[in-house]
Amino acid sequence: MKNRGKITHENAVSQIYSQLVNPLIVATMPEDAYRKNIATFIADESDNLFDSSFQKLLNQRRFRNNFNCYANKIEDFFAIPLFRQRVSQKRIIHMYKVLLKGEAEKLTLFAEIRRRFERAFLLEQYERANSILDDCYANLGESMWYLRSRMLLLSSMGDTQKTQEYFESCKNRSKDAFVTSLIGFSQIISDSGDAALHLRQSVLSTIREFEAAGHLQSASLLELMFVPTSLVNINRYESSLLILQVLPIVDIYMYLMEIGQSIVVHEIRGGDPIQVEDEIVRFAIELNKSVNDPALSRLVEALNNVVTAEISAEGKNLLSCYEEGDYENVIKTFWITCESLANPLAYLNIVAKAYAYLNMMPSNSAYPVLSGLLNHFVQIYAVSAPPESSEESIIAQIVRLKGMTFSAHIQLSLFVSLPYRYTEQHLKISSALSLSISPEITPLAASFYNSGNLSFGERFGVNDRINIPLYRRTKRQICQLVNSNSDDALIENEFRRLFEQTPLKKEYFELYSEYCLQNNLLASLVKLCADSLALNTDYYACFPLVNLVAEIENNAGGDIEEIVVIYYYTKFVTSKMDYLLHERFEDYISDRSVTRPSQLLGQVVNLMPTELVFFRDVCRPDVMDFLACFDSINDLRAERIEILNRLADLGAVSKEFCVEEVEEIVGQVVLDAATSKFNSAKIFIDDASIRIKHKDFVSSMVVFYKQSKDDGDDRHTLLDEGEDDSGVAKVYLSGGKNSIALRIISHLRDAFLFDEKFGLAKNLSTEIRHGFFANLISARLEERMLINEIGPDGLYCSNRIWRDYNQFLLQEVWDDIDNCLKEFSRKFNELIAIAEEWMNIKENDSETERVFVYLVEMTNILAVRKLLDQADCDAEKVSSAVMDLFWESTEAHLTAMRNKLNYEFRDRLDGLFSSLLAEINVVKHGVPLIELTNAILLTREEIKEDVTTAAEWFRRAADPSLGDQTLESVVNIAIKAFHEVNRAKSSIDVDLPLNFREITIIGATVKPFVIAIINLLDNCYRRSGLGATTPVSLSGSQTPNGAQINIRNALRQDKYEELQGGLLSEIQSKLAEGGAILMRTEGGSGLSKANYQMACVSGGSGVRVVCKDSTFTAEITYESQNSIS
Amino acid sequence: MKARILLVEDSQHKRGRIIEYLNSLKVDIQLSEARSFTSGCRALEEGEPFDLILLDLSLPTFDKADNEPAGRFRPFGGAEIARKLIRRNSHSKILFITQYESFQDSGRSYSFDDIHNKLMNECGDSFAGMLRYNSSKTSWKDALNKVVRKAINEDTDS
Repeated sequence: MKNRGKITHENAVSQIYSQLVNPLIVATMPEDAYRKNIATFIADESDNLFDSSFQKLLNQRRFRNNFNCYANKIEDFFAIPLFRQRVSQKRIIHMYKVLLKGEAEKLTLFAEIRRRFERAFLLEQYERANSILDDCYANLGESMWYLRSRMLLLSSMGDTQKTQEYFESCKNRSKDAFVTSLIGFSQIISDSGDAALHLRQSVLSTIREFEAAGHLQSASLLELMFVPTSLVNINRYESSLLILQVLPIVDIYMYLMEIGQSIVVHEIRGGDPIQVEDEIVRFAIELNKSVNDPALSRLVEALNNVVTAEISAEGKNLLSCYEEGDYENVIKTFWITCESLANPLAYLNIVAKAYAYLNMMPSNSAYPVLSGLLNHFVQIYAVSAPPESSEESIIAQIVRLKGMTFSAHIQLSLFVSLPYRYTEQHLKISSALSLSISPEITPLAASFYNSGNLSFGERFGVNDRINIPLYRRTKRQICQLVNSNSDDALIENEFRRLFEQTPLKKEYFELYSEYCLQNNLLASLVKLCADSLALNTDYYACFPLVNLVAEIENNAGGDIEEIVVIYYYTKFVTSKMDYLLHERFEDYISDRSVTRPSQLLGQVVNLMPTELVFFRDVCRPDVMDFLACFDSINDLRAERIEILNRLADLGAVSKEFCVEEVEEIVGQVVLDAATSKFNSAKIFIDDASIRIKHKDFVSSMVVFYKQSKDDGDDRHTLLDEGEDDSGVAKVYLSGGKNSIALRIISHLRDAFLFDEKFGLAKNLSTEIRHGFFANLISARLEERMLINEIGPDGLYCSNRIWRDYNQFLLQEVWDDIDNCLKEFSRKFNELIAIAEEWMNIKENDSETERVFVYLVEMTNILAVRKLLDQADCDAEKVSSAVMDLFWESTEAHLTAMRNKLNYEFRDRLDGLFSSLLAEINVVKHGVPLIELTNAILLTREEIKEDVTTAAEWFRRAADPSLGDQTLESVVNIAIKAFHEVNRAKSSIDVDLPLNFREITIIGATVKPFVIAIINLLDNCYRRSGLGATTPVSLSGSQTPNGAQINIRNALRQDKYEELQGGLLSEIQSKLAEGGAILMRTEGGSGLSKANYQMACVSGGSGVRVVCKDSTFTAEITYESQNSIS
Repeated sequence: MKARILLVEDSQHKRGRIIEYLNSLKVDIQLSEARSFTSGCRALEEGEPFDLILLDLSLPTFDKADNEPAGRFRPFGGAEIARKLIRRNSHSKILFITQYESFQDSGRSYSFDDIHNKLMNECGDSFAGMLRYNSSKTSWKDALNKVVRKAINEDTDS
């Protein structure tokens, strides 16, 4: 039967082919049937017949019209549905092979155009590049490659209007919204100085959304088009094979070559095997016979593992100059020959290093693309800028130029320049990719792919020439010593010479790191690394921090250098190892027999650079709180202030640095002191932090929105990865401007609701739902043992407490009562579960009882669009408006939740108690059971209060800002906060008039007022000469326009004489100069800072000072804002 | 000699219930309490070592007071205390207690089992288990009972 079935099937396919190939039958076949037959033929034709049959059918115009690959203008892109039903990947590759071979001439022409264009673009010959694209348009029509290249060129030429017009015309001409979205992504990536940001925030987030929705093919196509291969670990290009059908023939060709390159590096990358690897290799080999493209031939060689580097004569000359240390000639030769070099990008590293050796920057305006890249590389080699900023700029270029073959070379240059920022795998993959594109890459770059184990120094390009500069000779000497296993002392000595000789410290650090890694001398490297980073943080990229921290973790240590290295690792590599920093920090403190860092700092007279990093950067509250020595948060804050003040006194940090942080800490203390009243509200969503956290995304989306096309119905076809009978794509997702507005709302909604630190779900979950609500409501029942527990069998246990209490009851009577309690417990737990379900968030239309409903409605989208359409719209405005929308909903939900608890829940709970009492009454058979009944009645009343308490949780907690305060409160807050952060100071004698309670200080000015008083109090102790025991008093009086506060302190005789000897006049003059901004940080004394703060309170407010009878008085004048005309 | 047990738990209600249950076991124990990461660490640094330490997994840094915030919330404060103990070569048994089913920290999510396995690996022989507290069920009591009796060398079936 099976055989007969198979024969029947083959016959059927054969019959379909016979119909398709017969012009007479085809001429009368309806379109639907014709297309269905094609789909069946593509899916089911036997392997041995498919290529020839398909080739034959392609001779028919009607057949060819069923494939997108022949489209040559935007309007026709993706006009035809895909063939996907039961089409295997192997079959699709065969289909592409026949299609591409049939267009071999075109592809040969395309390869030539592409090569010429890329070169012209790279060398900034924009007019030439423009005419090459015109030529492309005339001969090949439009393709995604053409559109992206045109966009990139226009954008690079800097003609904003022309660029914008071109973008608009492309989008307007597109008939398919998926194509429109591809154009949109191309635009946002090409026409932006921040392409890497847009890649992360727009493209990668879309890819994640596609993946989450199961649209792997669409996700894969976006990756293929926009994501640089070796920067992001991607391993699923093959998923895009089917979907490539949407593109014109040149794009299919180009992206299949990229898939071929992914096969070249697959072995290095690892992961699941590529199912159709052999098929793609055969495809490339066969296509290479028809298409004349050096890049394809190179790829075929790479697939066959036979690629080698071949340096041109000009290249050899460059390398030679470099190796001889003739850097002027390197630079000169590079710019003279860059037009004739097969791959000028291969020399980015050596030319950049040449500039760095000479302490010069490229300024060749003839080739801005190359100059721009070189500038960043020079900064990396010279460590003349934070490496992450140069790195980010290079990555932005890599992303922007992703469509160009040479983008891979830039990636390789980046990895070579920062060997410890990237892994061996990055280098190998990138080296393999570069080799599969061009033979011209430097021997060093090629070696990462060709040779797994480099000898010492090879990685950093050490050579054996004779006429080389001194430091290169030393480098060579070091390598010879290391490779011949010479004495360590000799080697170390040479390293010391190298450090003195080399103009590039990076070179020394990397070579020494390599030496230490190879010879297991990591302890020595930890010291060098810590000392170097303490002097210049930017050196972090020169050291193998990952290896160093692994070494530190595996060995017991306790040196300050280890802590410094771990600190920089958590700062620049990953925060995942915070725990190691905390533990080594704790060890360090306890090993020195102190309990607090300030005790250590107190012993220090001259700070070593690593000690400065330790106290300034490591001894922060979030690290120090791992020690168990602090009594409270304010004790911890006071410790930090003590450290900062001590560092400032030692001159180790600037006063500005110290003042800024101290003020921030004092501000937190003031806030706590002013808002410490019990606040029952538990809903605090930190929307300000959310806005900051997602600013990049919203900024990217605002740009995207501005560039997007308003396509009316705002829907676009996406590619259905499921199958239906017709094999036609049919999924619709929203797109265009509405979709971007929706994306912004959805993204911020997710953050508002689910951010793990700042979002609503955290409040509802950790503060309310997870036990807190149930605990509160159950507490009184549990206290009186009125709730039965659920046993391991899932059944309610017997209430033994009340049974023991009512031992006199007959067992059957007790059983009935116990059953009543069990039933009550069951219903009570059910009711708690129902109430907890109310406290959940609902994001879709599912039928639930959840109260916190956040569905995005069209009115929301239109409101955000209205804002986005405004010319001055920016990310902050959009985020604020969206947050306002959510707060509006949230306030309504909180009210609903309170009402539900106060009415529905309370009534249902009360009903449970009524039923319990009634049921017990029935089953108790006249036994009084007074204790039990009273316990139930009492609990029934008390629990109502708990419900009210729980309902009050559902209010928005006050913003962490200060409200209006009386002047008396302001003074008291200041004194309290002062004592919180100045533990050892004696008490202050306070005498305030009662009418200070009637003077209101508005919320916004409370903080500067408090900080002014704190500064003056601090000044009393700091400058009196009497230290912590200084007698200090504070008094006040009301004035017609406000109030005056006098803060007095006794003075030691010498301090008094110093003031009388001219210092007082100096201070008075300085204060009289008034509240210039510089006073805030550079005034030097607490008096100046206080004066500045009071000036912030109101225009007429300020501080003046007097000194007599060995007493110093600071007079605060407060003028109410209302009194200022 | 009485077995020494330390309970580190910030929720007053939960702490009360656990203490009430421990007292109901009628075993010879000396129970100490702490309400935060810091007070838990301090309790461990003072006096004789504990035989058993009951650690709430998530803790505030400092004890909560009416007039002062409790400092940074530590999603894995209990685990941090445990690491301190292990590093000091403590032989105390550690039982972790939580009301959560899943956990989040620094942008990463962890299931109950993830954390259970991680703590088991980190604590080695000191690991006495991780139990999910639910006031309406008895299962946490059974688990606690077993751990306590084992810690004080009593037959768990008694």
